[in-house]
Amino acid sequence: MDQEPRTESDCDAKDGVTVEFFGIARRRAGRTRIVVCPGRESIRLGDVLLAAGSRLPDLAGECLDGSRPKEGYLANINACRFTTDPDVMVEAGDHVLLLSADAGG
Amino acid sequence: MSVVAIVGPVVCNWGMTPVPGYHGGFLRIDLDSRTFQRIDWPEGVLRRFLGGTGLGAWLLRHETPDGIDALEAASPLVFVFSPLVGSPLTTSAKFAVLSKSPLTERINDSLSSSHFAISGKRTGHDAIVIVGASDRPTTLVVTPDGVQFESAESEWGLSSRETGVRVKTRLGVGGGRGFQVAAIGPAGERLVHYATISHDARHAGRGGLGAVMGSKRLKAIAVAGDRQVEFADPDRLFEISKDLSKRSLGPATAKYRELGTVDNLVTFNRLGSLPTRNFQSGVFDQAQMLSPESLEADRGRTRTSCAACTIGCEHIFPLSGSDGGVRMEYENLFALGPLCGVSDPGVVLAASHRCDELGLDTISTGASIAFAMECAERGLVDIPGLRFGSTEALLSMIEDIGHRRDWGDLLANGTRAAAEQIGGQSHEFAPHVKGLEIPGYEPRALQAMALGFAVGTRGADHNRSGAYEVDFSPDVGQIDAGSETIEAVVRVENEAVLMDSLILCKFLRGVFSDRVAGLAELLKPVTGWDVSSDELLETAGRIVTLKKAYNIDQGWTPAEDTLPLRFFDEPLPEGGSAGARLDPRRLADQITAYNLLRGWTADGYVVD
Repeated sequence: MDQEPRTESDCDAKDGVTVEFFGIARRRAGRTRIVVCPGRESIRLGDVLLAAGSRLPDLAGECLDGSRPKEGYLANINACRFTTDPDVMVEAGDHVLLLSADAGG
Repeated sequence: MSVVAIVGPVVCNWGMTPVPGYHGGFLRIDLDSRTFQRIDWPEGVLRRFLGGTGLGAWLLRHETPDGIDALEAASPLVFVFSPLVGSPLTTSAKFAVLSKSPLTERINDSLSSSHFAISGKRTGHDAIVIVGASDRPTTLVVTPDGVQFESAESEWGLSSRETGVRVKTRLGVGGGRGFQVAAIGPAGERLVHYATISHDARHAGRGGLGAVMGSKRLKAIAVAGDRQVEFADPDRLFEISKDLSKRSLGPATAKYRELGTVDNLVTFNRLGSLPTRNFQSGVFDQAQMLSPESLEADRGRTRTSCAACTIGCEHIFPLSGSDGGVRMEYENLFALGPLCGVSDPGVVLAASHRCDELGLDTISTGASIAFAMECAERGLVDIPGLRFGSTEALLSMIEDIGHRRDWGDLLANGTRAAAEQIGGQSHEFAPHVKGLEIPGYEPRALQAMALGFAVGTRGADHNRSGAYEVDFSPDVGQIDAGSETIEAVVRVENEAVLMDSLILCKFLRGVFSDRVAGLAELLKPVTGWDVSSDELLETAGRIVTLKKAYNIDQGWTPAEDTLPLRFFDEPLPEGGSAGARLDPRRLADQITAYNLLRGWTADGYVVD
């Protein structure tokens, strides 16, 4: 699995939303992150996840239910706020983390 | 509380019909007199306290004299099984061990897994209570025929693993019964206050149960038997067991199966909630070196599981220069890695292995060493070479703690006691609650967890509270907690106490759409009880209150329900929760609200 972004366009970007993957999401994505939705200043979380899922079908199959995380998964905006609401708005330059909802250790 | 002796008629009811799922009584062993007796459960106790930590708390409260030192001979040590042990329900091969903790002087209940639970229950008892102390190293051999008191002179000084092999070899197969052995290592013998009791590479790890066992000169307990319990509705039990096993193989447990709990480390780091360098930060810039991928690189790993478990969360990593391996979990990884500023995977694996061999709780060991590292860097102690990131210092201090040598002797009593000796302002950053070292959940970044730590009856604990679930949910804020947080903290604590009393692995949590209703559904074909969710929630509240009452008996005061000053005074310097710190007034209000929700007084006393 890639530990680093695959291409220049997948690096952190001000133009677009960076989706970071953790745990099973990272395994299924086969990478640590991608950048989606370039050219948009403000966008629904659901559209960000749809865009990520369309590029990463294995991820979509296991972790996403269309435009929202499947049960057992969560999104987190900028490492600050957990959500599963596809209508939450994110901005260009934001980071969406996709991770397991179970943090048992 | 005055001591309530459980005497009364001592009747072995093996010939009677106990409640399905239970044998109907417990075994009480007195090491002073080398005697034992079988005692029946009083009417109603089983349904009111279930098993595991619930039934164990009931036993412990009735057996513990007020104000006794945890390491005095009369301090009881309790092993408890559950009605589900021996059933085909996945993850049910578990047992609880309870005592007064030498680390906290409050209640301590730890869970462990695997074949000891099954063989222990087959001795024909629902629990084993051990009081008194032997005058020489002893191994207890418990079977349905009774108890033998064997010399453990030749095992004294060995690791729990070596002890288990020796005792099993000596006892043979026990007439086909298959002895299972729980034992202490050198740390337990030396009364390290966070020594473990180990079986089959699993540990009743927290709070120093191994020291209590060591104080009784009890090296090991071997159990074997052929007594099976009846189940109320075996056909239905088989049906729901099959369904639960199937669900346990689904997406809700994929993380544990494929990656193990070690996966938390990279995630927590990104969220700024990975305790680093004795809780000075929530971000470790070398965390990627301890990711599952990095741990696996160049060494591979194997996966295994506890007895009667379909999840298979155990990930075993080979040790360099050895044929053996070590089971890694998030908690030993964080405590012996980032908390001590160490990023070398080989060193963290070796450190964890040494803790297992010596019989040390990895969380308290790592936290004690990290605390000493900060004391050294601040000039409060002069320990040559002890600095964050020093791999040699980490490994040598583990040996010193396990053998109570030099500075290790001081750290062997935990961070609260060490801070009292070191002085200065060290108590402000000694990472404990009630004396129990804080696990790998940064409380400034996860403030529902902070509340769970503060009110936890055994101290800073992520297993009895589980409030991190509230933080990791979209329903409440991690930082700005409102009243909905308090209710959620109570709810997850109730769910946890039910799982710990029944006993089932918490990694099954995600397979239940309604956990309490799901647990009630499991209990019915085992016991025959038509238990509703409401009754189970009432039971959960009763058990939590019982543990609190135990602590009050032993001297608890409201001032104990707090966290170290660091978490109020020092904001997190970086990461997703940069700037976050605990607000003392808000935490106090939350604690009051929690107490009232529990039906206690506002300051936390139990009303009879």
